Amino acid sequence: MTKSILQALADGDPKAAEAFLDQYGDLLWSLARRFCDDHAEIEDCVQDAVIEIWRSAAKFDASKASETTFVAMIARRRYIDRLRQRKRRPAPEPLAEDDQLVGDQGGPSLEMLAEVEQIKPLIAEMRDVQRNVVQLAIFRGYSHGDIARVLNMPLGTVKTHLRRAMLAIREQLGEQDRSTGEAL
Amino acid sequence: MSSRLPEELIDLLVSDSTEGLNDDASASLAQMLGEHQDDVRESFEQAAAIAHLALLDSAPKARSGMPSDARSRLLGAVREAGNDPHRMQAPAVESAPSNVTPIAPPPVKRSGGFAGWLVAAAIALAWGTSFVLQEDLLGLRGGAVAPEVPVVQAPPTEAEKRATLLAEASDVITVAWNQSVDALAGVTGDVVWSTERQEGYMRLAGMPANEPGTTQYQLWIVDPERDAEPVDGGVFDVADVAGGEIIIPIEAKLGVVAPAAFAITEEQPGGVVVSEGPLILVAGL
Repeated sequence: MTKSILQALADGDPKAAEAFLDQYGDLLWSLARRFCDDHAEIEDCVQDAVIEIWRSAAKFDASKASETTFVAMIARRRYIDRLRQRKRRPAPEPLAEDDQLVGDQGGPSLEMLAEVEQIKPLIAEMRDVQRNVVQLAIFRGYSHGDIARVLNMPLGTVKTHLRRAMLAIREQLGEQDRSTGEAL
Repeated sequence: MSSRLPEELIDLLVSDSTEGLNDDASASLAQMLGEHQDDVRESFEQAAAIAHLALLDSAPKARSGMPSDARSRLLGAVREAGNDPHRMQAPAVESAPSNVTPIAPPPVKRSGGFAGWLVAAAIALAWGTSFVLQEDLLGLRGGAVAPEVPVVQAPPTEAEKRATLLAEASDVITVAWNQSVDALAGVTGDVVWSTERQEGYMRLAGMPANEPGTTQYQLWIVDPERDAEPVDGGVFDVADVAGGEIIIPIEAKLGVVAPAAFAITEEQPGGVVVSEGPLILVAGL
């Protein structure tokens, strides 16, 4: 059975780092691009994420998440931590044209992950205002306070939208242990 | 598992997986998760990551390839580290200096109910309002965007940070301490708070010193619009300053929506999650 890239990284395979960047470099760059102000910061974020993923590769458990999800989870944690350490974020602004969702165009997908396909309809069905909150928080890394300012809504409303969205996403993914059952 | 997560824990988990937490909130989350499954935090992070991937997959224009020069530099760093991730140094992060000391997570204490807090809020509201709205002199974008501070510059004192908040936050309120137990009748000062920035400071003069090994003061933010239960505003000590004035930063563990009152209790060292009171000092709007 072929080793996964993360297994190869964990085993110290000398070719694994290059294979990892071939497979996930574009994804890491795309995830970081909306969290950072400029090219140098994006590069720093990605390098930081690569180091952390490499160090954590041995913890990857395919029964819990796909490799792509594992990579994205660790990268997001590093990007969020770096944003907090910088104590500043990109200037709050409404969603850019490039961030607009176009739905399924039938083209090649980032990766045909079952869990991603599970969540896309849920996001598509959200009311515009909730989807905007989710996009700014998850896609752009905005603080809840920044979202409240950008969308001109009370902070409590932002938090409520996010809480309901996150619980719904978890429930959709099969985490039915602990949601409060709030409607979207 | 079929039990529901407490609202406060859900809010912390959502904040953790989307905007991150400060040290105090992170400690609170770690302590609360001790009572629940360890994998709950991971499940929220996983949900956020999958949502991020789904959003990226639905917005092709937001995707971009890693530039070849960046890839080359990264591969060079990997090779330089001898293919050992522990020999690679993560890039430094430019940050503004901070002199806020994290407070240890409070131990759990059984709730005495919410009714007392709602009554306290109602009483505090009856004391009247003492707003001082400041003009937004600099037109700042908001609290999350801090100015760059040169490394050689000393971090500002709490008094300076309070003055800056008063000068710059467009929504800042100032509320005097206006209700107390008899023993603290001589205490003066106020609370300044900006909901927009989620930042505030207590000013206290004549507050008796506490014995940190025996008791600590704890601030609570009464916010009925957010929740019946008050928001933990942080644990603090008062040294014997012979009646002098001290300024304490407010460390709200959760987002504050519309504060109705700020209240101080005296608690066991480290504070509590739910206070049984009594309120010894209140600043009510």
